[in-house]
Amino acid sequence: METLKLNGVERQYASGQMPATLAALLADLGVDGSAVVAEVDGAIVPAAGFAETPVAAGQSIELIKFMGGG
Amino acid sequence: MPLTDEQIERYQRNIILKEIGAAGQEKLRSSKVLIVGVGGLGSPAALYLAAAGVGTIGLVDGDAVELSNLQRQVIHDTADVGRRKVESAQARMHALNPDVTVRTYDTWAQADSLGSIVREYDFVIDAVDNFATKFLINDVCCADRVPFCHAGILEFEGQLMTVLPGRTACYRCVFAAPPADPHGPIGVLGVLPGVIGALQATEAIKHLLALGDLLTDTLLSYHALTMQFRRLRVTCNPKCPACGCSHRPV
Ligand SMILES: [Zn+2]
Repeated sequence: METLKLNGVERQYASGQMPATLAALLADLGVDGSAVVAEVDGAIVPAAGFAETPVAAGQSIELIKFMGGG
Repeated sequence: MPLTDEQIERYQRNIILKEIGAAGQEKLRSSKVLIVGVGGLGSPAALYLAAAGVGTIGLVDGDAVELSNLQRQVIHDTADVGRRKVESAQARMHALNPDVTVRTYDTWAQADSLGSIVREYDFVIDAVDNFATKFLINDVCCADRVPFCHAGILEFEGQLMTVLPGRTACYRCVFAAPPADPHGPIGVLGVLPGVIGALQATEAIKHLLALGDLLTDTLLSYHALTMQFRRLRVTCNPKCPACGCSHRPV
């Protein structure tokens, strides 16, 4: 098993089943990539970088929603 | 000028806090806070800051009160529908606390005018309802080095962070550029902006009185359905064009 921490919650994947990139992870989760930015181990990744940002076991990933209401 | 007997009575519960005292109350009276947006977030922020005795409160909003606002914009009354929001809010704040000077700017926050307004204040509350203006407030406050508290809401969720420009991560450090605004109104649980706007007022008072720990380099998120608050550490983006926090001394 491989583990990611996603928004503070551990998420387990069978070996080889972890999405390879942030874009793939978001697709997996059904999250609209234009509605969030990601923070991977403390570093912000904007939407433009989702396709080329690799996802690896042990990472801590936060998906931070854009909230425009007031 | 020392506090009057009436002020000592009005602010008794502030003053008996040893962290505030009469000196803190006088500090609040001499402080100026600008609230941009007098809607869901701005309503509780304006009411609590007026009640607390913040001496000068500026309100920026170019809109009129609509019936559909009243589900969450609790500073306005049914009889205010159609009235300018800044006037409606000013009247309620004066009724609550005649000590407070309320300055009104019946206009939309714009790049060419917001800077000159912001510079007159000690702290700014971002209570607007669109991404473009949230980024504008961030950029203007960063350029003029005016501390502010960002907040946003969406459906059942809210988030906020406080920015000390040049010293802590700004909104643009986290959210590099605005996404498209949604088409049409978004749903929002009416009490949600009450929670988040009250937290923004808390941050303003803490900053004015140098109390406690601000939500700097920290995005606080709140989910009303799970009742979870989460603090997320955020760091300055060295490439951020707005805040220059990468140049801060370490
Ligand atoms: Zn920044």
